[in-house]
Amino acid sequence: MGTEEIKKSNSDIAISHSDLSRSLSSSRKACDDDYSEYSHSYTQDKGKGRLRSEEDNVVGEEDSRTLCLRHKNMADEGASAELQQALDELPLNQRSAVTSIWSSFSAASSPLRVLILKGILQTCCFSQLSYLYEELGNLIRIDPFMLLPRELNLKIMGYLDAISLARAAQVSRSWKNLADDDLLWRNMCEQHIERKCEKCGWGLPLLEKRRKLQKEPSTKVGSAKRALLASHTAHLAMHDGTGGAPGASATSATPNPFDTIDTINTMDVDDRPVKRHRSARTSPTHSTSISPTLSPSRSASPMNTIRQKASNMTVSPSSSSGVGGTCKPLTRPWKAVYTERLLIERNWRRGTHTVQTLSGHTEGVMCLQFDEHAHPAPTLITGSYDRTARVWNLDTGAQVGVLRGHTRGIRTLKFDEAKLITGSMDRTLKIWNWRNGECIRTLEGHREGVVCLDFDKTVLASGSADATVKVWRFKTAECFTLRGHRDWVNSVQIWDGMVSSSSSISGSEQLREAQKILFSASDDGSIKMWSLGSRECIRSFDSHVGQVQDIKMILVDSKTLEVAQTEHEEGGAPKLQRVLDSSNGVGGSGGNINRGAQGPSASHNTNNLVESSQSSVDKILGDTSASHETVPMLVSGALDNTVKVWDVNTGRCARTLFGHIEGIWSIDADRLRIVSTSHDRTVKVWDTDTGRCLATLVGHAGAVTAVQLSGDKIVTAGDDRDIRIYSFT
Amino acid sequence: MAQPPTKVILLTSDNEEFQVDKDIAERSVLIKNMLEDIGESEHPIPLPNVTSNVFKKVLEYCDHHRNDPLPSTDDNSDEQRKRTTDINEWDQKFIQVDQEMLFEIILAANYLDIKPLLDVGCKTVANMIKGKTPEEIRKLFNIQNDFTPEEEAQIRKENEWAEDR
Repeated sequence: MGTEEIKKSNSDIAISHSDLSRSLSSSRKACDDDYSEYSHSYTQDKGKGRLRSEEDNVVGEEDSRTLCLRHKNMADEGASAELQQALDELPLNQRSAVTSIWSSFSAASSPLRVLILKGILQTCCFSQLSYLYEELGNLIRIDPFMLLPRELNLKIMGYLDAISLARAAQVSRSWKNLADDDLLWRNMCEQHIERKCEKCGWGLPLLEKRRKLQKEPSTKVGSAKRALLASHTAHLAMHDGTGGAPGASATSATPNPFDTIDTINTMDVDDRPVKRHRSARTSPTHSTSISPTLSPSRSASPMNTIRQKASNMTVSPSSSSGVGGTCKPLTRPWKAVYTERLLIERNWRRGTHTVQTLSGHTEGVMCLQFDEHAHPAPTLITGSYDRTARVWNLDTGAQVGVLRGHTRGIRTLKFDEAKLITGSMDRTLKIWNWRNGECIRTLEGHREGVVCLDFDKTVLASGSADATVKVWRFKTAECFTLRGHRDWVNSVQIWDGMVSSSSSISGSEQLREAQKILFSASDDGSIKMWSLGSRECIRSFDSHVGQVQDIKMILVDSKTLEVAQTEHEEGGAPKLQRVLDSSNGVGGSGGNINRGAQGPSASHNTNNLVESSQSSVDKILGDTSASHETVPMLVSGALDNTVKVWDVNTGRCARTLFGHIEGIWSIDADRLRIVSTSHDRTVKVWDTDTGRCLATLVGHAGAVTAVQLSGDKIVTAGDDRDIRIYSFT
Repeated sequence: MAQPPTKVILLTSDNEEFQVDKDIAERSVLIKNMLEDIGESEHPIPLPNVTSNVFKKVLEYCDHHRNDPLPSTDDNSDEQRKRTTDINEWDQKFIQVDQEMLFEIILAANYLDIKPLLDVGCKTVANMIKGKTPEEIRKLFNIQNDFTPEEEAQIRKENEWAEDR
């Protein structure tokens, strides 16, 4: 109901019901005066800035004509009519007595009213008091959002969970306007996306960005981006409206992970230069866009607020993002972003998914990688014992190209936007232009087959059946060898040693080079952590009793590992685990003993135990454990049928995941989920925080050898020559 | 040694004077700043936006929390607070008042700049809303459903994900 209508309906009552309405309307008048006086001084005192107080003056004038909150809301004609009827039934002399009581009460000033009431209360018997008690309970109900200024309303809304917000949006227009506020939902997204919300215990997928984060030296898939996420949540720029707008000029690569969210629909990849200033430019715009809505404090007449809100609603469903006509159509409300992800999350939780199978390889598939943001289309590349690597369109499932050149099976591959590198049992690595199938270069050096590889911007690491890891520098083609494993090296991962992207900007390239860490996993049952600066093994993770086939390091909230530890100590983990932990001297390196003392200090001790030659690395690790909440966590899968979760800072095994009945060939992990594939032909999905098995996916007719996980899908490949895409969208 | 605590005189909108220990009054950042600005003064400090009955309630809170560490102003701690809607026991009892008083306390806490009290008030309102259906919320706060039937259907559809757990 519009303001005018309310006023009108009130005056209608006034005309039709003589006595009652006269007294009622005067009572309204009285409370108006109180109200306007109160609110006027309120804002005058509080007045923040000239502009607003001018506005307030105007509003203040209007106030004197409007009603107090309660009487404005008393457009409830039913109650008045009832009262009137009861009055009409009285004999005339009684009627006038009653109305005179009412009117003298309503004519009284506020303190006088209190006095009158006190007297009346004194003359009341219990039956009347109990009547009052009951009635008052119903009468003192006020829409808080009418009464409070908008900033407080939003503060209150900020305490609500998503479900409550969605319900609040259905209460009334003004509530919808508040509960759909874009900032609120942005915060909600911050709390949930790619992390577990501490309020409700679950998180939403990040659905990574189509564009490359250009400032990042790309370590193995995702870790850099995750580091970014951690550091940037603090200063999220407002999402600047690139969502669903292919080719829009706003599609710049801001190193802000939450831009991702809005760009996921964008099909083009334009590698325009990073525009860091963009966020800076956006935020002031944003703040000015909210300030007018923040101002209606108590001074603003409630009616005026209604009018304002109503007009807001018709203009834009995404409320406070009113950056101006030009940007608006490009903006996706954060609420939509949130709900989209919530639906995907539900599918994960319930195991609801669709499966697509890609066939084409003529022998078992050994490795795969996909990039949903590749240009020109989401791309999957697979490598097989049939000696080929195949390029697929991930969306359509069509095979786009076949890369031939290796003389034996391809065991490993990794690609970025510029190149694909494959490693083969023919002892070579090949660098390809995967878009046209051209082999650019062949690297020789290993004396046995190449089983695994990883690369970042400057170096390539390869692990081989010859038990060594070779590290090649792209620029100079130099190569050095890391020796220490006693058997095949099945998995390598390079880590820049940083837990956040902001720190990676500092320091020269050389320094960064020296800080780099390499993890390697081997058939000898160990996982080793190497310093690429000193080229020495600085830690060993040794509690697997089978060949370690795959590892993945990710950055997680430190709580993930703390929780794992407590469970472990409380005896939540099987005894076998404890035996293994205590029997391994090297991996624990004292950490296992000290760790009981809790927290950062314990892990710091551990770091001190490491020899001084690795002091620079220690420093990194020290920083790591001290820095806010992000810590490196290593996940490994082995032929002992287990997946293990390690605290990289201490070398301690934080958790062991049991469930597969045969050896594990590959794993992948993000902050929400760990996925493992096994010789038992199944794929298991685990909760990263709790280690609980969430789902078991079947379908492969043979051992499942390779896997990659993303926010909304799992892609696996197996000995059965098939590639399966499990999609949770 | 026992020096009587310094008192300040505060004057509410309905002209009631309150003699309050300085440290209690200074839980309000507004009053604290005022005292710093004007220094020692015999004159009462006017609080034109607070009525005496609300101010009594506020003083009760300040008295109970007079020895709490002052809330830090950095955003991080704000973030921490935001995450939880837990309210400690005393505060919970304290804030068990009728709606009008609750909202008045919130307004007063906002005006007087007493952040912890403001938080308690806002959390309390949030807790009242949590877990309720739209109809229950309307009933609780006596709100008119001003959507047209078409709008209501549309909005229900928009938010139906919230009903499917």
